[in-house]
Amino acid sequence: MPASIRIRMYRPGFGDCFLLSFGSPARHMLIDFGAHMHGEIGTMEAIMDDIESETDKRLAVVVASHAHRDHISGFGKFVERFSTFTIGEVWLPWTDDPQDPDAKKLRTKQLALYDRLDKHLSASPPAADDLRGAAAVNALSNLRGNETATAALARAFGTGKARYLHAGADVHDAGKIAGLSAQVLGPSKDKTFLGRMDPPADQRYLAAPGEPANAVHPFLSLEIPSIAAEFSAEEAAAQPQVPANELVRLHELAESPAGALALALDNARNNTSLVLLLRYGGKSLLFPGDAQWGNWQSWIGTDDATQLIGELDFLKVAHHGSENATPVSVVQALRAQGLAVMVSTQNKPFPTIPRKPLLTALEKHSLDHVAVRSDWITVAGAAGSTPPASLPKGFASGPVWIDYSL
Amino acid sequence: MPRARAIPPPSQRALRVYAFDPSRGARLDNVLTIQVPYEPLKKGPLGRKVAVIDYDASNRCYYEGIDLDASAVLGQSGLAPTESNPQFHQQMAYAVVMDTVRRFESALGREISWRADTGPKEDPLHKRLRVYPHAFQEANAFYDPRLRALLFGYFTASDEDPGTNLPGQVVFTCLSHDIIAHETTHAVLDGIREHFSEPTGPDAAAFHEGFADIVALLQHFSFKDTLLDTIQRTGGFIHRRQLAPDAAATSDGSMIQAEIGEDNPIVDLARQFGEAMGNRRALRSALGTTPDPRLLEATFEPHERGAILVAAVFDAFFSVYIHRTRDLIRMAYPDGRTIVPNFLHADLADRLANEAAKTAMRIQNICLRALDYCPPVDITFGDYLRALVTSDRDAVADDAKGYRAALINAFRARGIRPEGVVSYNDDALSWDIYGGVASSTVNPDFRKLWKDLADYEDDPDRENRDQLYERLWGKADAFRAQLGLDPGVAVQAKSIHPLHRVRPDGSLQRQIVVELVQTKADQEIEPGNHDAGRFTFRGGTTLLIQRNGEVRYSISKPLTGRYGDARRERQREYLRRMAAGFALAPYVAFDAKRDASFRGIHRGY
Repeated sequence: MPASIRIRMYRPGFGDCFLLSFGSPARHMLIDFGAHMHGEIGTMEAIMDDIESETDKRLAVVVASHAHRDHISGFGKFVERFSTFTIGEVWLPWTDDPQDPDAKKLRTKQLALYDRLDKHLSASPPAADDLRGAAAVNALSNLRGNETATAALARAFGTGKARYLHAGADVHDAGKIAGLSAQVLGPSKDKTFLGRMDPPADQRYLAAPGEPANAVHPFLSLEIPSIAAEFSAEEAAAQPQVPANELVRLHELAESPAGALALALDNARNNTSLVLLLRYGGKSLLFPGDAQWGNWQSWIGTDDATQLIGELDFLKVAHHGSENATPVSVVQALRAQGLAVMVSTQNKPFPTIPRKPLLTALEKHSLDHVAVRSDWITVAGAAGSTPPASLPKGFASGPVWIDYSL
Repeated sequence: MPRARAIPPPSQRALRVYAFDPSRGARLDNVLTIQVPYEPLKKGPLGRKVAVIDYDASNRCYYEGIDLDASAVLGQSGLAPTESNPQFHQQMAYAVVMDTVRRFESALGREISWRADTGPKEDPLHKRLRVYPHAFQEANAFYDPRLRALLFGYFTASDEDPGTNLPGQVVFTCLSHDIIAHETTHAVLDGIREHFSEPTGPDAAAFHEGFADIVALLQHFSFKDTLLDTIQRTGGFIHRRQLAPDAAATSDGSMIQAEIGEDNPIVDLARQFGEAMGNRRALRSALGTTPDPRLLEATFEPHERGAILVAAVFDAFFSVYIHRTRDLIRMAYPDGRTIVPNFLHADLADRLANEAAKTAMRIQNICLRALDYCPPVDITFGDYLRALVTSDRDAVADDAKGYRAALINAFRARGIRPEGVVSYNDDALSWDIYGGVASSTVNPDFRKLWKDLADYEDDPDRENRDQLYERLWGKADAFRAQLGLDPGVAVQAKSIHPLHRVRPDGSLQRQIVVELVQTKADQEIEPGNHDAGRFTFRGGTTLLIQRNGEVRYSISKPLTGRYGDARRERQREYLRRMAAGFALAPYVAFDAKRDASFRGIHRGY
């Protein structure tokens, strides 16, 4: 049995969808299937059709790297069709485990913050020219409407078995595919790392203007809403008051930094990404999901990790090629050249993604100095970027996908 | 014509506060009466240095300020501790802020002032630190340099994991002794070294946090009742994290409160806050883990890195304490029996408590005094170790009690290595004695300036400072170069302070400390890459000047030259690293000023 691997990167828009086929007759693993609410380009049906025909409705493993819309929306949208599949296992990060007490706590906190942010941002949307604000709204929408998908994944579409994985786990003959092993690098269960997946401690009260405040009034009967109205001039003079020119900043400090919080929450969820190192037929492939700085920090930096990164044959670029989703030290540790690199990306809805300097740095290590992008696939009505005249050796493109065979 | 002897105003005002925070309940050792320097107070309280303004920005309302001079209040050492009266909260915030300030002033031998206030002098709040005990509804407390204010939040305890709090109970950060002391220290430190809040390296932000924790923790050792309790329940080993229960539990487990051991409150910080946030444990502890010299290389989060500094200082403190009390233990247990917790002789416990308090006082003085021996910019833990050793050597020539040795060993065990120092002995670690041109040759009138300095001290403001500097050395270019300053760049005199310090042996030490700073604005983080952002690069020198006008130490961080260039490179590297770890980086560009600012880092107690 030849130990071949084919990696098919689809273009769902701003999102991830990778179909891996091992050996012959091929057995399949689907890693993520989703598109961002504001980054869809109308290819989801075509992708679903292709997955169906390619796999003959048999998936040994389905991986949902983390519960963000741009990675799992397809599992919700096509839940009926997936239910007719034969699915072996569904792999999820331990942070999605309904039984794990730490995971439960984490999800409760993230959800509570989401609710408040959502209320706040829909009641007082950021100004049109506020780039940070717009990014925050977009990031937040990625957490919305995932219930069908997460429920379906948790019951493994009724036919399979859900497995919750954490850093340190080693899976041999993964999904009963002989010779396929998976080393789980993230997310970690380490206490210090947990904080990186926590929404920020800075959870002040976020009241949407005009909403009935459910604020705490610790001394309701002692509140003085207006000194001028209740105090005589003499009494008022004796009561220390906030200087008029400092009141604005004081209110600013007390108000919610909703935008920053929304982005931090997004970051926290990205850090729950399942990071998988797959080995098959002597090749090693890294799928880091949307891991951000904090997730990487939990495992890189050791000699073992550096060696492991140096031996990679394939890298899926984390978080659509954004700024800090691939640490500099990781890029530096990659093999000098000949690495196959794929990034599923496009610059809508986040104009700062992908980040050019990162892609330039990755190209130095890449096969034929090319990092292969999903937005090279032409889709009517969707902006893309221009592919080179020919793809590097081993790559081939189709209607909604680019293949890499090794 | 009344006939009575004149009554001088009291020197101190007694005020009751929580020793720790309300979570320890109404236990006797949780209520403390502290003595703060007496001053006539207006409602608020509003004093000469501090204005407590009880404005709640979340609920947009005021709470009436307390009149601490009212006879009903004065006559009972202030209101009794309670969570339910905001006026007690105001009293506690005022008392702990003032107590912290007093500690700094007595160690430094001078009055401290807050970050420069350029507003009108007629302003009733001019040059006063604003303290907002109920600033907003948020699980947070912080110091805001722009408002020169301490802001304390309040919040409801976590529903699922409230620790010793009731679920949903309101927790006030302004009732935590530790949090008040910690935030006050940020404000004092910012007044003494304004540029330490700039993102110059991993140590700078961590120093602010670590130093604030050191001050907060050291206060615990002046709480006599708690100290005695801890000594009993640890058998004198006060650094242990666990207290033995008052009564031993049977094999069936603990049935009553007295059978449950608990964490040692003396080495924990802000327990109620930590528990209410669902972390179950106090936020930070004086001694977290076994010293590991490699930890420093891998720890960058300011609170975590600062904790290494805290651990080093407390390692030294506890080591000296153990050393100092070995004789007592040997006398009490001559046959080498193990000490059984809770069965120490009361006299022995009392003597141990005294030793612990005395040792804490010395360590505190060493730690605080060292501030005047720190460079004006770009502080590192190594610089601080050198400042500790130098300032203590100036105060006590020999190290008979082993304080310096203990500090040096504790810092070394944690991998804190001062740059360019070849060995860890007293002499090598001290700043070099200034050997350059004598200031009397560049400015023979120096002695006459003493009077002006005294005037300046009464009413310090920027104008005077710059004038004084100009008169002192403004024209002496050669002298400047000797002080490690760039002759081509303007010098700003950040501060000039006369010091009057009492050494442990009782003798008086008089010096002047001067902070000189040079600035180069608009440096690119990545040279040639305009998108990567810019930063302000600073250098400068701290001078310690003898009473006769001669410079004794010139502690400099050059702006230019080989050393200055290397330093600038390191700052670039640091800012790049910060940009990489910046949580919002995927979507928005990193902005050094906004995203690496003091407020960004130090929010979140």
